[in-house]
Amino acid sequence: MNHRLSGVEQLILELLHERLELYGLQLVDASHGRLKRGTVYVTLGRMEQKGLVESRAEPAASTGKGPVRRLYRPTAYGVRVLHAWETLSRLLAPEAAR
Amino acid sequence: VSGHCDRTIESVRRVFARVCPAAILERIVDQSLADLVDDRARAADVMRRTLVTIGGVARLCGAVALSMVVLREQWWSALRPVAVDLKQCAEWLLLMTLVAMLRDGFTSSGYQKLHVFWPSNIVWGVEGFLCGSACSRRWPFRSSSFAGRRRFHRR
Repeated sequence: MNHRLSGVEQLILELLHERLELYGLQLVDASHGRLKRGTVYVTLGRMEQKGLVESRAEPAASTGKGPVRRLYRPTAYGVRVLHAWETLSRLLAPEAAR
Repeated sequence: VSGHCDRTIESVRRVFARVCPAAILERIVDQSLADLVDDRARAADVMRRTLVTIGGVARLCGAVALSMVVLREQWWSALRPVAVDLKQCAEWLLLMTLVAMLRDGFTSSGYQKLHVFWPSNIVWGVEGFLCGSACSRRWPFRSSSFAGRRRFHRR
């Protein structure tokens, strides 16, 4: 399994870890411009393949007649990878940045 | 939360449903269209709604193209059996072309005068055997992928 985390994947995991369950547009809004609407769903799809996040369809009652949204949440593995990545980044940061 | 889904959105979805695998349709197309439904509902007038729709569909095309590369496992699994069949067709075509070329060569009058045993009879025999094998789906050279698929179908 690929344990590497890109900057965008780390940001998505941080946002999902803070707020538990969000859909793509909410993630874009919460990132204050750091996530792009054109790529967020592709990144989420790739993260789901890697086992970092999981999704479920939004309940039908709240969607009306439109396309069904998917709500994303981090998996236990995703949270572990995020924590490990944060620790590693802290350890490898230059002395002045600590 | 996505609101009312109008005919424009339904039409766009129908087009993408024809070309995208289910996983990409559900995870990329539907999510982008749900965003587009919200954007269209927020648009004040028809002109702005049209511009929002054009922008949303353009963004969706980009996302689908990107997802075809990034999530290629999703659609390649569906296309793999077709690719194997196409490869087998190409192999058969090549083989039968070679056999036909050999038969034409052997049946030329100059060649037949030189030989006691008519090789064209032998080639016709081989050709008949290969055609019979193809009809009964018994590939004489037993390529590994074909043997695996036959075992799979027997289960």
